[in-house]
Amino acid sequence: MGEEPPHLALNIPHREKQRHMQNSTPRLPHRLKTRRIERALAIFSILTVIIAWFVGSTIKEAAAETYLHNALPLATGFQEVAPGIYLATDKARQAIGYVGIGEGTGYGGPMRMAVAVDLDGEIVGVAMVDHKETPAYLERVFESTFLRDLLGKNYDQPFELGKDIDGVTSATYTSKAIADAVRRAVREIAREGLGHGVPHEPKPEIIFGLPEITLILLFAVGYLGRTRKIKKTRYVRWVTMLTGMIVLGFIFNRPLTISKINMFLMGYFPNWRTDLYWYLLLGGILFVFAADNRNPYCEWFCPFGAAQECMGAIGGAKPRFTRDQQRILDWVQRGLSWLAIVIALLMRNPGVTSYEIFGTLFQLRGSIVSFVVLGIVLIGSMISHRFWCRTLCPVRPIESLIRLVRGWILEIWRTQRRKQA
Amino acid sequence: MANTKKKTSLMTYLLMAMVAICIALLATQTLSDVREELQKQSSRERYAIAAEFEPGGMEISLKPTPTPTPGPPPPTPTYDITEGE
Repeated sequence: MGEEPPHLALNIPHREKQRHMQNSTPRLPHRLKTRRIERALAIFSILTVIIAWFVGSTIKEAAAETYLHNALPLATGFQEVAPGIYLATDKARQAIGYVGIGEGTGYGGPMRMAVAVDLDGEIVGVAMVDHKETPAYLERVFESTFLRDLLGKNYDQPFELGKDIDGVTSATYTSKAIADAVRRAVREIAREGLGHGVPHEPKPEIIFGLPEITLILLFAVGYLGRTRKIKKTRYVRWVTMLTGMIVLGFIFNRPLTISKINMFLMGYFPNWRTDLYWYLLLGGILFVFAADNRNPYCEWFCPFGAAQECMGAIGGAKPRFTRDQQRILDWVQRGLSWLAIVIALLMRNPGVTSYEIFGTLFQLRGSIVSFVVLGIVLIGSMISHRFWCRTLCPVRPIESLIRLVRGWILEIWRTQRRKQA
Repeated sequence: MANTKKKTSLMTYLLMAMVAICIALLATQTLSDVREELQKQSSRERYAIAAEFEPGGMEISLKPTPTPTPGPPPPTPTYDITEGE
């Protein structure tokens, strides 16, 4: 929405940029008019997002009681013995076990599971009550043997991926959220229902590993690179791009997506101890933006951006769109991003409108449609510089919006200061 | 010069067509996901797959179970779903 400074615009080589800009430099009145329209639309988009947030927040969560029977179909009656813990009885009104509701945090937000245990404390059934996950990822878990593997486990087991449970490849967040929810429910049942002395869960350990270290290093190099404090910027940038693509993309599959942004907008804040990465990523971007009006992520280490640039290097990609064409494409892109956010907020599901194809490239998973789009985007990237970023990426319009709002605030502040002077 | 312009123009049209195809495909897929989610929300049929333990045969089976029709919340914390009772 804001005009991109000449040095930005996705790192177009300077000569190409000059040629690209030759089409026409808009006259001043035209630019002022455009700016007014952009600001009006920015206010409209922010207001609609706020309205969608309030409308979405009125959606009631599923009543957990409805799902007790799914976790323990043999039971005919349920009696609440403690908050979220139900004693299950059969037709003869004999106790046959307990069903508890546990909560975990998935990729898109909170998730609730109904867990049934028998009177010995072993899991005999699990059922999902509520979730905010991207449907495709959840399907992967349900198609695997992950739920089956939880059966027979006891409250004294750790329920940790890689220890006593195998996570589902490329649905790690969802698998972990289910395991956490089940562990909490089982331990609560053991404590409140079966009367075992199970200690309360300790705070989780702070996870600070390779992705977090890589992210901090990339931010530092990206920031220094943008401020031209390091020499041979071009080569350093390729190093950061390739590192981002390999580490944050292919190894950990953690590019910034619209569903992550939606998740924060909805107030589903993950535990900072276990999800420090996302706080570092979003906090880092916002900090550099606020301080310097620059976005090192997109240009220096966005994994998908790097993949496009690799394709561009092979095909000799150039900026192919004229200024006017790019302006039209920008508005289409903004409209798509706005729709994705508003619908997700209305439905209280961050991942439901996530249309990025990052997982398709980095995990080689996705529908046929995703693979077709990925193929088109990669071919497009060979011809046109950063084809996805310039036409479809839903994150770029958010960056433009932040830049516009920042510029507007600074303009008001400067005007006020001038008046005071 | 004219040839170069024509080529550029053709390339741009090709890229525009690629963008349009991508938008159409992604919109179809996303709308399908949204429709599915809406159906689930309206019927409250989330992922209601339950693992059922059968004590008689000591056999474990994983099968989808129908979600009971939601009704108004019961007045007491006792949930009895036995037929005829």
